[in-house]
Amino acid sequence: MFRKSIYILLSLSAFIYSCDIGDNEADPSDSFTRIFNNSDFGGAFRPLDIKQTSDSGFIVLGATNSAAAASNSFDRPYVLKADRFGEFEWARTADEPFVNPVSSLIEIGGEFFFVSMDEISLFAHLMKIDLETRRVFSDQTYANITYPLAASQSGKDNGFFIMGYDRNDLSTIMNRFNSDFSSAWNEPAEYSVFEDVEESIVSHLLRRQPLPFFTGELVDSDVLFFNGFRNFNFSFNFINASTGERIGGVNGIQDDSGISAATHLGGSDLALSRFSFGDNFILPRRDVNPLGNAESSDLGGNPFPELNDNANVVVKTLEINGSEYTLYATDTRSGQIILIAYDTSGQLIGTTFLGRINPVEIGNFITTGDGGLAVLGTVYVAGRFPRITIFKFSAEELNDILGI
Amino acid sequence: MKLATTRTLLLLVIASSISAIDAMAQRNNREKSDQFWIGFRGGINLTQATPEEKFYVFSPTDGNSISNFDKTYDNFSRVGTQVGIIMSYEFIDNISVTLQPTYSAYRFDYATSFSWEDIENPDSRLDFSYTHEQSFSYLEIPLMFRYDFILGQSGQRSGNSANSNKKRGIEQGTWVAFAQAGGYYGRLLRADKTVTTRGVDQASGGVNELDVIEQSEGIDDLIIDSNVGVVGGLGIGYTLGNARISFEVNYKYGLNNITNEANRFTEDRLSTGVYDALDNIQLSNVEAFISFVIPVKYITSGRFKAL
Repeated sequence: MFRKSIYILLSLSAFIYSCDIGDNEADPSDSFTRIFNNSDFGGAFRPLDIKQTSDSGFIVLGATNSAAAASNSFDRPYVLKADRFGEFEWARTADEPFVNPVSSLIEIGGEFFFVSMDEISLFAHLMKIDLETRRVFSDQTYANITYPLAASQSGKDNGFFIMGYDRNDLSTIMNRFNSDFSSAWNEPAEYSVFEDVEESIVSHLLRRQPLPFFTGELVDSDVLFFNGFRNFNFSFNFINASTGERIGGVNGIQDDSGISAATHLGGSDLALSRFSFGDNFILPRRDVNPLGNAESSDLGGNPFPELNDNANVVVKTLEINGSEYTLYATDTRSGQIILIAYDTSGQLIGTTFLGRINPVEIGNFITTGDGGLAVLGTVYVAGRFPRITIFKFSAEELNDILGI
Repeated sequence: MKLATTRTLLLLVIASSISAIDAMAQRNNREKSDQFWIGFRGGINLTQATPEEKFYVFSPTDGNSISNFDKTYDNFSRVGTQVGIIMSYEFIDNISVTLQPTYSAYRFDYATSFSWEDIENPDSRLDFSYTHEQSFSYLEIPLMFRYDFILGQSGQRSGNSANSNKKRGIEQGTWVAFAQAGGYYGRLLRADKTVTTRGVDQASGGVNELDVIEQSEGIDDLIIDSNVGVVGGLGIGYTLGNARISFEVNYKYGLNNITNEANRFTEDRLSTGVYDALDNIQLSNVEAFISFVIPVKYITSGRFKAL
């Protein structure tokens, strides 16, 4: 009898430890939500871009009007470093006179840069983030680009593009740079707006009426694109990457209608979103001839009435286990971030909402080295203080988001 | 506590309990017995949650220590309840092995608080405090060894049958004290959380106590299904007719982290709503029972004579 009891007990113990207790171990860096809070009542922090660093941590580019920054009307560049668990390591607000950082972070030779504006001269500066000394300073000055509005990095040669606005010539200006920071073109390309839109641009910079300025490239051809003012309207423009000459595009209607986000899928197919007098439409796979001219209102798309008026939209392609997916991230009227996933055919495969109770807004997102996803956003803590937040998802959770 | 340590401790407790009782039985050369008892029990409990490792949603950027918004656990403050059945087998005189499937409801609290203030005007500030009440329901199966001490009796009987019954503590009017120890396995049935938010706004032109907000939700996904531990306790019983009524107090010590580590941040209502992430916690409980058992063989077998 007694031996029988021992056998029963040992069997029971083995059963217990074969269950979920043994499996309940997760690396804290796989999945977390982190809010970078401080007790500053008046400070607002707005995230723009995020990249992973060599230590598997994160570098975040943002903007702030924190009381700790000098009191001026434009936001100051704010750089935050977090470790791989999302724990705050350090942050720096750029010194005067730098204001208006623009997305995206640019990584060249393991070092991080971003574009900002001199609030006096309006010149564009390439700001360097020194991770070792924890300094943020101007590394290059581009006096022939004023009012920098967007920047992005080439996936082909590690160079980068900067778009700005010339208030004297009433033109959008664009320049392409090599990875050694030299200009790839003799001089910036100009695209005449034919009217003064400085008021709209200042309104954008002051966040009163943000506009979706961005730049990018077609992955399999020598074509760049920018989204900005041209020929009286806010428009999406294809340009020759060698000369800067405009070759085609999609016209909006003044600043009331146009493209709000784009990424190239291959050939003449793009994943787009567009805005039109407050409404939002998502076009997960749309054929757009780079050599043609189209009207944004003719592109159609899936209406998303649950999104904010003229919502901020981020769209990127992800490659997971050899398959490509398109992921949109944008803001809903209910104060949430919505992630909308499509397969390569443009078929919806999943939606995920982030944030509850306190409003959240999208900043950007990246895939991470562990196969997961990091979503950068703003959360209004206590309903009123904008703070930078990172939602980190494991590879398994990313599969759930993508519905695979 | 790490899993390997937990396993080792549990196995050690079980093995040493078995060895001790085996040795005691052999030393005393006790009379073999084969009495079954069956009954039911119910009672109340108080819970302690011990954080093994703490986790936070906020990561302060202004040099504030994390301890400024640490969780403050309020242990043994919320009364829970439990009810179950008892199946006991007395395999040696006064020594029993008991299986006690029990529905147990545990509750515990912790609190957090956060403040924001105007750097230029410290009187202008906003303070929020949150009380987090966790409620867990488990189906638990404690397996314990129990030793009975016959204390005395209020009545007197004669004959072999009466002596045998007295030794087993089943004679009318007998007082029995007992000690018991063993382990338990709990299976989560339900997990809920209620967060009560209180706020004081001193930044809008006066002192304004904000409406108290209470939000409740299921958190089954944040808690793993299993909870194991060791249990020990003392009690006293009184034989009344064919039955025994007992009062016992046990202390249960959980050996594993009950928080689901992979799902810790998956509930946005908590993470972005009230800036909360569950710590890795072990549950311990003090529980008091009143139980009622009857001897099965006493009724069904001719070996024992009715009183």
